[in-house]
Amino acid sequence: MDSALTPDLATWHFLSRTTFGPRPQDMEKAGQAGIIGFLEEQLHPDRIDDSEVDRRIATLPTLSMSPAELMEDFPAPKQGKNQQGKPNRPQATTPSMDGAGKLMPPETRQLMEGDGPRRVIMELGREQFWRAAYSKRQLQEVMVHFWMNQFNIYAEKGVDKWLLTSFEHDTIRPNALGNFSQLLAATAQSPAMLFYLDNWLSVGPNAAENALPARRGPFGFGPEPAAMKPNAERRGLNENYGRELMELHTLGVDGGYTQQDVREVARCFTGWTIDHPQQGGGFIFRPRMHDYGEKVVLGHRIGSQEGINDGIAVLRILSAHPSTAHFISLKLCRYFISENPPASIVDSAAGTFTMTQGNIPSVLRTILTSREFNSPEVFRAKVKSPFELAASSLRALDADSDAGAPLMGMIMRMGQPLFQYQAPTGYPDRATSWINSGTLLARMNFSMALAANRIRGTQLDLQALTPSEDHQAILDNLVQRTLGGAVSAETKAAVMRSLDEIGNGGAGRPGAFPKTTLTAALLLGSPEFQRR
Amino acid sequence: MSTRRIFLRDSAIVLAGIGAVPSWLARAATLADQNGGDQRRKVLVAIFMRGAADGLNIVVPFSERRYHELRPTLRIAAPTRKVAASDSGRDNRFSNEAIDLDGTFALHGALQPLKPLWDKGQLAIVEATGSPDSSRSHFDAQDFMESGTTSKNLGDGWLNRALPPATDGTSPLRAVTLGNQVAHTLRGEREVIAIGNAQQFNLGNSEATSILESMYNSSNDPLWGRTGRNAFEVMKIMDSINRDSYSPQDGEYNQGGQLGRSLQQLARLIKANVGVEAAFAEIDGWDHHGNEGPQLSERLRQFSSALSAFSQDMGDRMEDIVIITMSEFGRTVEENGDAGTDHGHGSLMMVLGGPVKGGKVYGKWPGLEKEQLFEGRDLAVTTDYRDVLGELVREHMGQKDLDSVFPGFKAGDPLGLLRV
Repeated sequence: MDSALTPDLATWHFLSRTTFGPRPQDMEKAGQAGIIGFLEEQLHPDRIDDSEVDRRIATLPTLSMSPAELMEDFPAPKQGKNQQGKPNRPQATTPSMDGAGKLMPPETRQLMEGDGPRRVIMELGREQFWRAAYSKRQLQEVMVHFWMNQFNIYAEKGVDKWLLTSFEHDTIRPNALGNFSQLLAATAQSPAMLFYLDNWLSVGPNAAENALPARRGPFGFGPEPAAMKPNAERRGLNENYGRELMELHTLGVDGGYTQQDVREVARCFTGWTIDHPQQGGGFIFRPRMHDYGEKVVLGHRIGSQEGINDGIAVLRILSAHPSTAHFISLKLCRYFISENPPASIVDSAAGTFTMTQGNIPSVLRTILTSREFNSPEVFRAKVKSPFELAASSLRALDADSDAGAPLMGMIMRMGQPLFQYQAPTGYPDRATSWINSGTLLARMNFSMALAANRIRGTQLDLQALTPSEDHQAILDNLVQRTLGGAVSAETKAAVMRSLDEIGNGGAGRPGAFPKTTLTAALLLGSPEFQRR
Repeated sequence: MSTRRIFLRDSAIVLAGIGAVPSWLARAATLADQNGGDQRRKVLVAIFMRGAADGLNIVVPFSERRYHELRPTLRIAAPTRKVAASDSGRDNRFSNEAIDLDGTFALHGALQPLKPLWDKGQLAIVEATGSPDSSRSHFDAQDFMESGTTSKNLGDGWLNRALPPATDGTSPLRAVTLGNQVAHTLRGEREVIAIGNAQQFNLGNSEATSILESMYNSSNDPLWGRTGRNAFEVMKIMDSINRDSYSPQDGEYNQGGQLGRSLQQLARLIKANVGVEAAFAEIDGWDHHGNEGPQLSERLRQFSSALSAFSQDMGDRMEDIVIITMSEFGRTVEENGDAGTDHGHGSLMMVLGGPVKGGKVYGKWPGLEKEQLFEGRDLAVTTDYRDVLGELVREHMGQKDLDSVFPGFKAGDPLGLLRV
C-alpha cells in the first residue's frame, strides 16, 4: 500500500532531518556514499575537517574565554544606582534600521549594542548559527541543538549569561554524540545547570552548614543582590533540580517517580554547588551542605560516607532506568521522525538505548535506518523551527552571513530568541507552538528580505545560482535547491504565473522584484519550505 | 439595518476591502444577530509591571506611622487636602502631592490621571496581594505568576488556559500580546498573536504577497488552512486599522511611552470589532534599588497616562473591559542606603474597567509593625494574586473551571470586585 520514497527523495528526506538543510553538494555526496555511508561519516565528526568554520568562529573573542574572564570583562550594567534620575533601563532614543530598512524594535537594538553580557550571548548565538549553516559536521550540530533544548537553560537568569558558553562548549558539545549517562553527569555538574535549577543553593536540613549563624552573602552581581539575601536566611532543601532531573531530563513526567522520590533525590544532591559563583568558579562538592542521612530513590537505598557519591548513584539509577530509555528515545523520534512517532520505532530505539547503555550514535542508527523513518507518511512531517528555517534558507541559496543582530532579530520575531526560553522544558517540539498568524507572516517577511538581499550582514548571489533567463529553467533550478524538486502543483503554478506576469512587463513597476528574487522569495515562503 | 450589517460596517473588514468575509468574522456577525444585537465581546487585559513595583509608594498607606519612620527620604507625605470628589476636575496633574482616597490610603501624585476613574467607580485597589511563595528572584517570581502557580514554571500561561477552545468563528486576533513575542502569560495551546511593530504585518511587496496568499489558500496541508488564511486577513486588517487610526487621545498615549503605544494599538483592535477576548501588555523598569523617587514618578506618569488615555479612548466600551495590573513582588518597607528599596514580598493590584466596583481599597491590610511584616521586613500577602485573577476569569471571562487555569489552587472568599 505505501509506495516508497524515490531514491532521490529518500536522500533529500534523510538530509533534511540530519542536517540544517540539504545543499546540492550534500545531495551529491550522499548520492555517492549512500545514506549509510554518509551517516557513518557524520557519526564520527572528529574525522571530518571543519577548519573553515572554526576559523570563522575564532574571530569572536568571547568564545575562547572562561566564565571568570567573561564576568570580569563583560559585567552587567549596574542598575538603578548609577544614573541620576534616569529610568534604569536605558530608553533608546536614536532609531536604528534593520537589514530590511525598517525601524528596529528595541529588543533587536539591545542585541546589537553594548559590551555587557549581551555580547557574550550574542556571540554564542553567532557560533551556533555559523556552525548550523556552515559546519561540515552537520549531524553533530543537529544533536548539539537538540541537547541544548533538552537541557534548556535561560540565559537571563542571574549568572547563567556568563556560563552558557562553557555549557555549550564543555558540557553539551563533547557529549552530543557520546554516551547519554556521561552527558547527563556533565549537565548535573555544570555550573550553568546548578545555577539555573537552584541546586547550588540546596542545603540538607540537618547539614553542618545550617548550624552556622550566618552564611557569607554569596552574591554581588547585577540587579539581584537583594533577591539572594533571603536565601541566606532560610537555607534549606531545594527540590527544583531533583524534580526537573526526573521529569524533563530522564524519566519523563509519567516515568514512575513520586513526590517523595523528588525530595529524596534533592537530598542526594545537597552539597553539589558552585565554587565562587560570582567569579565564574566551577563545580564543587561541599560536605557541610550535604545531608548524610539515608535516602531511598525509586526503591534503591542510597547513603554513603563519601557524600558526593549519593548524587552519582542517582544519576546511575536514572541513566539505566527503562523510563529514561523510553523518554529520550521518544524525544529523539519526535525530533527526527514525527510529532507522534509510531510506538514501534520508539520501542526499538529504547531497546537499543538499553542494550548499548545509552550510546547515542547507536540509538540514532536505529532511528535513521528504520522503516518508520523512511516512510512516505513522514516526508515533511516536521515543521522547521525558526532557527532551522533560517539556516536551511541560507544553505539552500548559498548565502553568506555574519549571523549578526539583523538576522538573529528575524529569528526572534519568528518566535525563537536564542537562549531566551525561560522554562526548563525548552521550546516545545510541536508545529502548533511555532505557527500562528503572526509568526507565519514573520516567516514570509524573512524569506522576502533574504531573497532581496535586505538583511544587513547577509548576502546571496542569485544570478550566480541561476544563470538562465528562461522562466522554466529558473523555476526548476530553485525548486531543486530549496525543495529537492518536490513541489506541489499549486505552488509551482503560482510561481510560474508570477514569472509570466513579470515577463509581460510587470518588472517595470517600482518596488518589483527581479525574476530570480521573486522566485526565491516565493519558494522560501511557500508552505512546503516551512517543513522538513 | 440588520445587526449583521451594522457589525460588518463597524468592523475593520470593510475598511480592509477583503473580497470574501472571513469565516470567523461572519460567524461572529451571526452570533451577534443571535444575541439580539450584542456585537461586543468582553475583554480582559493583563498588564505586567516588570521589575517589582514599589506598591507602598504607589498607593501610600499614609496613616501608618511605621511607613514614615522606615522611609525617611522616600516617604510620600500625607495628603494635605482630604478626599473630595470634586478634586478630579482640578488642574493639579503631576503635582507630587499624594491624592487621598479614603483617609487611609493615597495615590502617588503622578497617578492623578487615574483619579477620575476612581471617582467614577472604575478603579479598585487590592492591597497586600502577591504569591505565597517567598521567592525574591525577578525571573522565578515572574515565571510563577505568569504561569499562574506559586513555585512551578509551567510552559504556558494562565490567561491562555482561561480561553475557551477555538471554533470556526474564533478570531485569530482573540488573544493579543502587545510586543514582539508572545508573553509567557498568554503562551499556550490557544492561538495567540504578538503585535509589536505594526510594520511586521506588511510584507512590503504586493506582488509576492498576493501570490503567497494564493499559495497558502490553495495548500492541502491542514496546518496552513486556517492559519494561512488568518495570516493574510490579519495583515489586511492591521493595515486598514493603522491607516485610519486617529484618536483624540493620541497625545496622551504618547506620554504613556511603551505601555501607551501598546494600549493605543489594543484600542484600535477592540474598536474595529475583530474579536479580541484577552490581551497582555507590559511596562518595565520598576526595579528601583537606588534613587527611587524621581524614577518611580516618571514610571507612574507613563503608567497613568497610558491607562487614562485608553479608558477615555474606549469610552462606553469600558463596560466590556476589565484591566488588571500586577508585579512579581513588592519592595522592602524600609528604604536602603541608596534612597531606593530592595526586593520585598507583598504588593498591590489595580482593577480597572466598567464592570468594576471601584472607588474602594480591597483586601486585608496586614500592618507595618515589625511583627506584622513577612520575615520581619516585607509587607505580608493577605490576598493570593490568584484570588484576584480567578475572580476576573470566572466572572468576566466566564471560565468556571478555575482548576485548569490555576492548577491546585483553592480559592479564598470572593472579593466581590465586579458588578454582576
